[in-house]
Order: sequence, then structure tokens, then C-alpha cells
Amino acid sequence: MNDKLYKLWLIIQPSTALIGLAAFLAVLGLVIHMILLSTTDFNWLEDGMPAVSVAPAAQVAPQQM
Amino acid sequence: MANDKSITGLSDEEAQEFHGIFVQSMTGFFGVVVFAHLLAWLWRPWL
Repeated sequence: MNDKLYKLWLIIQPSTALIGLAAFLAVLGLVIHMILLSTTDFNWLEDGMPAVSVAPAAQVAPQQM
Repeated sequence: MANDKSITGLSDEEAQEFHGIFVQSMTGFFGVVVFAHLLAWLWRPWL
């Protein structure tokens, strides 16, 4: 069965399939990234990592005076 | 006759050639995807 799989391209237009596949994968990737960013567990931009720089800076400033 | 032009206009040889490149590219892409998921799992397991 596998060795005859190439005959798919005798039925389905390769250019159409490539554009469709690229569009589908791009949308899928964007949707997954957006869903992850909308959660608190998997948002990598607002999780305070590697560090929230406000707290240490506020402590250092009074010591230098 | 079967080796002549098809619905898509590709010959049997052209379809085989395209299929080879397609499978190779798909394998490479899925390799990158699996690696990305591995890194994401190490970062924060989701199950």
C-alpha cells in the first residue's frame, strides 16, 4: 500500500495541497500559541520569569544612600 | 496509457519524484515539531 502512495499526486494537485497544508499548519500553530498565551500556566511572557526586576531594584536603591 | 498524463497533469515519474521530496520534507518538519514539544514538555509538562 505504502509503495503506491505516490499515486495520490495523480489525483490531488500538488501545488494546491502544498498551499493548503502550509496555510493549515500556520493557522494551527498560531491558534495553539494564542491559546497558550491566554492561560496563566503556559503564558511565557507574563509569568515573571526569569525575574521581575521591580522588587530588587527598589531594595538596592535605599542601601546606596 | 496509465503512464501518460493524469488528472493533475503529472506523469507517474513526476508524481514519484514529488512524493519523495514531500515525504522527506514532512519527516523533517515533524522532527522539528517533536523536538519543540520535547523542549516544551521539559519546560512545563502539561499532563
